[in-house]
Formats: sequence, C-alpha cells, structure tokens
Amino acid sequence: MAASEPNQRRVVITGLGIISSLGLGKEAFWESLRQGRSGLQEISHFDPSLTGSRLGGEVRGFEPKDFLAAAKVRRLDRVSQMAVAAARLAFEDAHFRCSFDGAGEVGVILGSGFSGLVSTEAFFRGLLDMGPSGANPMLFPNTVPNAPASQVAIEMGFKGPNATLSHKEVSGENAIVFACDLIRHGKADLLLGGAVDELSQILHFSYWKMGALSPHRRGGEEICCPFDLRRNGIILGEGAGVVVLEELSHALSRGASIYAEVAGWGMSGSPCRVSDYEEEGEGLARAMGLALKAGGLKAGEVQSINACANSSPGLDLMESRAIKRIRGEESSGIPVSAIKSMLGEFNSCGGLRIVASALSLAHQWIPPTIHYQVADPACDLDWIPNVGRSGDLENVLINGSSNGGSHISILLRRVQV
Amino acid sequence: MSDNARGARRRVVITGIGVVSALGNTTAAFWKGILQGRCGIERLTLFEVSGYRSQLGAQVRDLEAGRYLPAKSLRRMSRCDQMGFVAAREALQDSGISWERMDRERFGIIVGGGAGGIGTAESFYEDYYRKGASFAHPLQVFPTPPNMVTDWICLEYGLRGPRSTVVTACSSSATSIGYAADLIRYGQADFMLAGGSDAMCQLTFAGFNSLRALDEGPCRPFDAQRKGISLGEGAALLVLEEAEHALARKARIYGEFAGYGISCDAHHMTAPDSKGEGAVRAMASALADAGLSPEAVDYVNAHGTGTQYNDLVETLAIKTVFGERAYHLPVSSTKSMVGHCLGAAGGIEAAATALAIHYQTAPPTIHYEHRDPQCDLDYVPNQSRRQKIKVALSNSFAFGGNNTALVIREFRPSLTDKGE
Repeated sequence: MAASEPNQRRVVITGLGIISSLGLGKEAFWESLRQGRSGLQEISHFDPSLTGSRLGGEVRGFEPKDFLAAAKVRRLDRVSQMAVAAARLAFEDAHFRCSFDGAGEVGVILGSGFSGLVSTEAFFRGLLDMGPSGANPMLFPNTVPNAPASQVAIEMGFKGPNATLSHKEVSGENAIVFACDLIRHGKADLLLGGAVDELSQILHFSYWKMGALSPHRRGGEEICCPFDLRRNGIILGEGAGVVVLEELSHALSRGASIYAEVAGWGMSGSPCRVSDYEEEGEGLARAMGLALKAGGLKAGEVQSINACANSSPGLDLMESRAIKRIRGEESSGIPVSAIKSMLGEFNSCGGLRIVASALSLAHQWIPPTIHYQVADPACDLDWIPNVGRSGDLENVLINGSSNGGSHISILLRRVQV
Repeated sequence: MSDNARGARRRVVITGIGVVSALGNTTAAFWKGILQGRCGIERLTLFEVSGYRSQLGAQVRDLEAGRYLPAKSLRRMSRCDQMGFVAAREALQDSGISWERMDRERFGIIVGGGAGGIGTAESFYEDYYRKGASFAHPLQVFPTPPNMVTDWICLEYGLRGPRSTVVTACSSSATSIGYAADLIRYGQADFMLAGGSDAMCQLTFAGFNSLRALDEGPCRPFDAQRKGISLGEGAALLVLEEAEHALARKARIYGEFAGYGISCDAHHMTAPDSKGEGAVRAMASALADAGLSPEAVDYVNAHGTGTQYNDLVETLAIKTVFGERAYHLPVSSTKSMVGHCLGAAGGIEAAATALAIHYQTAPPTIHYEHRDPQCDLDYVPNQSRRQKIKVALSNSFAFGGNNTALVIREFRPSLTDKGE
C-alpha cells in the first residue's frame, strides 16, 4: 500500500452523482454547501410524532421517472431508485456515452446501512396481517440488502465486480475503499463506488428508541451542531452519493477530466462497546495515519479534513482527539469541516461526503460546519464555523468512524500526473 | 495479471476453521456429517411454519452460546451474532495462534451476512404493529445492523485491524473471504477472520416461499425431480494467515487461498441469466487470479441450490469453463445436507472446500436419485469420495445476479510449484 511502489496502479475520481437533501446533482449540492444551507427540516414523508424528534434531512423533489422507465419506477423501491439516479448522474458526469462498449467490465460497489428497510417492513406487515399468503413476492427482491447495487448493474448493464457493504456509519467509506482496492489490485479499471440509505418512520423510531436522536437523552434544542457544546445527538438524513472510480491511465487515455486522486486509504478498528464510539481517538488516528502513509504524506501536509463528527457528544470529542493525536501542536492550524451539520447522519453519508471533498478540491473552497455557536473547550480546533472559505487546497482527508469502533480514512489529492 | 505481479504479492493460507450448522456446532461435527452424508434438514421449530409450502429447514440446534458469553451480552445479540461468535471462537482456537505476542492491529475481520439480526427485530416489528409503538423494545431492534456480529467478535478478541461487513445476499461470505485475503496479500493485515453468519427468520422463509422457491421435501440439488431450495442457517469463519508467518510458527495449514473472482449478471433480481455468463466470468476470473488453468481443478463445491434453474445454469457454466474436463470433475452441493444458509453459505462452503482438500475427500450431494439429462455431470451422489484434490473451486451465486467464486489449493511452500 505504500506510495513508494512505483508501478502501483492509481485510482482517480472522474464523475460525481448525488441525490441529497441539499439538492439533486452536483451543482445544486455544491451551491448548498457553499451557502452553508441546512438540509434538515421538519419531516414530511411520514409522521414523526411517535418520537420527540421532528427534524430530518429528507431528499425532496426527487422524481424517479427522470431516471427510470415507468415500469421500473413501480418495481424498484425508493432506495434503489435513488441509487440508480445517483449512478446515472455520476456516469453522465464522467462523460461516458450511452453506448459505451466497455459497460460489461464496469462494476458497482455500494454501501448501505439499511438498504430496503422500507420494503422489508412492508413485506413483513403483509406477512403479519395475512400469514404466508400475505407475503408479496414482488416486494421480496427489494428486501435483500444488495438490491440497490444490483439494480444499478441491471439498469446500466454493468457486469463487473458487484458488492454491497454494510458497516453502520462507515458503510459508504467502506464501499469506496473496497472499490479502490479492486482497481489498485487490477481486478477492475472502472467502478462506481458510493452509498445509499433511506429515512423511514421505522428507522427514525428505532433510533429514537435507542436514544441516539437529538434531543432525546440530553434535553435541549433539537439541533445538529457538530463540535458545538450544545450537541445532544444526531438528526437522521438520507440520500445517495456515487463516484466514478477509474484507473489513472484508463482515465487519461479517454481524455477524462479528473476531480481528484484517491491517493491513500486506511482502515482500523478499536474494540469498544458495540453501541458506543471509541473514546480516545487512537483507532481513528491510526486510520488517518495509514491513509496518509499510503498517500506518501506527512501529517503536517494535510490541508483540510472532512470530519465524520455528527453532533453526538462522544463521536465529535473522539474525532477532535484523533486529529490532535496525529497533528499534535499544529492541530489548530488545519481547517476541519463537518458537513453532517447540513446533511444529518446516516450510514451511507460517506458516499455523499466523498462527493463533497472532490468538489472541494475542484473549487478550491472548503465548506463550513454550520450551527456552530458555543465553543466546547474540549473540541477546540478550527471547525470553519458557519461560513466556508477558499483555500489553496492540494489534498483533503475524509474521516469515517462508526460506533462499535470501525474507522476508515480516505485521502484525496489533486492530480499530479 | 502477470506472473511477476502475482509473485510480488504475499500468499495466504487457511489455518483455522469454525463451523456452526445443522450438522452440529463444531467443525468436527460438520465434517463428520458430510462424510456420513447426513441430512440436517428437518421440521423447523424456530417459528410457526404451518401454511407454508415447506415446513423444513436446516436449523442450528443446541447452540448454547451462553457457555461462552455473559448474560448481559447475550441479551443484546441476535441469533446471527451468537452463531458467528461461536464459529469465530472455534476458528481462533483451532488456529493455535498465541495471543500474547499478537499484534492485534494486524488482525482484521470481514464477515458476510444476510438478514442478520432481522430475525430478532421481527418481534420488534410485531409489537410495533400489533400492540403499538410504545411496546416495541429497543433491545430487539438493537442487533438489526448486519455489522453487529463483526463488532461483537472484535470486542471479544480485541481485534484492531481492518474491519468490514459484506451483504451481497448469498455470495456475501465468499466475497468477504476474497476481500479479506486481498488485505493480507497486499500487506494491510497479517491475519484475518473471514466468512459469514446468517440466521433463519420468517422474512426470508416467507420470501422464498412467496417466490415458490422452496422444495416441500429436503432439497435435491441436480436431481431431475428437484423442486427448490431448503433454507438453512449457520456460520463459518476461517482464520486466514500470511503464509510465511504460518510456516514460521509451524501452524497446521488446511490449504492456500489461491484466488477469487466477482461478477454480476446485470440481468434480473431473482433469476440467473440463462447461459450462466456471469457465473462463467466469476469462475474464470477466480482461476486467473489464482494463476491456474481449468485443467488444474480437481473438485467444485457447487452453489447447487436445488432449484430447476440454478442447477441447470450452473451445470452449463461449469461446462463452459471446463469443457470436456467437466464430465470428469466431481461437482457437489453441500446444501443438500446443511440447506441454503444464504449470507453464511459461501463461508460454510469455503470451509467444506478447505476440509475437502485437507482430508482429500469430496463431499457428497445427498438425496440424489434421478438423473437429469441436462444436468449430466458427476455430482458425487450420496456418498463422499476419497480422491486426490489439489485444487478446488467454490461457487456462490446470489440474488441480484451477484457471483463469487473462490479457488483454494493444497499448500506447497515452493512458489514455483504450479500444482498441475
């Protein structure tokens, strides 16, 4: 994995597709990030009143018929529809023609925390109401967790490696690094990598029951304010983010425009209670160190961090500690933004955050951490509060961390061919 | 891949196996059942099965995970988590590794899953609908995410290396083994636990029933009168280890992980493409990854579900990959004994394949009585067979057209030995 291997295959990002609460498509998404606009609003797709939490980052204005034939709109559930839409947008953004004759080699690696949970619930409700005869065979295929990735492959004729990963809040990051491994090791030249999840009543209710949502356990205002002293739990979001990952020479040979190189990535674990975040930041710091080493960078050379902080007391403090572990005295000099302040938290958020970082490098501009007002003395770094800023950016490090102690860091850098 | 590139990567061997299945809750019981051609498919007692086309399944019995886990943890774990935990425990013990000098940052885990903890969450849903939301207990929804089994094992053994959970339906745990082996090959870890765990639940039982995919009797893979699958459950975890390390500590080596291939049919969610092209590409790329030709293969552990379509298409695909050799190649389905364990199937079958190499014995396809003129290969009918097995292939095909093939071979320390 070390950067010193001269003949190592390199992975670049050449297309971006996104369906989010901050807009559909990369332009709308980026405009929202620039303005520091929150995608978290009163939940409208279902009644959240079973809980004491009413905000969510819902995808609005999404018309599946813009991306799928009418017959398919009926067959695919919403989570698969969002995956197909993001995949199409990414592929178009990479300027492949519809008749692209290499489609048979393209693969799809997606992450998803809960995939077709809505279909699963509907299927199970039929079973509960009417017994075995109430189980709907049309719904069942949507209940398998790999349905979104398989539907993307079916829709787009992509016959290469196909897999779905599900590892809580790092599901998206996990899909990206597996895809990058496959390209680097010569198992593919062109893959779609990303993630998708849908917000639903049962998911919202379950998170509430578990005590994870703002403001359940700790009281106070319902707000998503990473690194802020007032933070008191997460607000759920949803969406799909997909990037086109391509082996460098493959991209160059077709004259593709390149957003960024995925220069290095690292995975680590720190054993901790399965429902808690790691506390000390040792594991996340190790993932960051592995990503930097693989990308041939020193900790002091990181120019911006796309944080995984999600407004839960434990995770944000742990990430702050992890950054200090690798940067030491210089920690305050590095801009860190938590865009979950705008998107909310969901298990596939990493798929959307990698799109944000690719755009950040392309536009030489760092999005803000919004809703930041009250400083937490324990989290005292430069969180780019409320207003983004331009910067001379060569690289950005994307952090991912899930409860149970799984960590993934991904280093993006501008391409030096 | 060039021979040079293949030579530069590190080699990976299997040094520990843990299996929980309807044939018993240890690897020894599993292998003994296979040698005897014993059927683990019986009437299910996990939930009410009247009203379904079939009342049978390959259910895990007497798991007794409480022997190894405190009650507090046990309450928070799904059946899937518990089975995975028991299999991991056995695999680690079986490997004989010493924890004292272990660098746990170099020890990772990738588990494949399916419905995972949904079986436990079913009672949450049921309370939520029938009694009202306030009656739904959070402990019952807690184990739903598929990664829980992975995280529980990490917590128990203090694993600090790369961690992931694959949910590609019936090919999940084969993919997890391939992914884990790559992490060792390319230097990101020295040890990996890999495989899968999946528990029987109403969701999947009702689902396959609604698709009319269940056989009323025990499944009969490749038999002319086959009518569908028998669902199963279980877990299998393998300890994968960098070869030099295993040699240095004089570990018992079951076999070498030689390669894997993944492909997608991109055809239909629940039916394979009729020529089996996706399956062919998975097998061919697995052999290419291993640097082996089809002639080197001595045994195929088939996906062999027992549906008309799968077994026909898989037979066709094997003929395409192996040509004339297909007719002299033992191909068997261990699903005839342990049922279709979905997310755990690839792991259980990888374990069977490694054991087949270790014991030089091909597992049988049981319940085989009627020859299908279109399925005309050697399916090792009803009785296990002692034979030379240097190289074996294990197939896993899934809903959504996901195909993964693994190649496992007898381990020879010399790199130049091609095994032909």
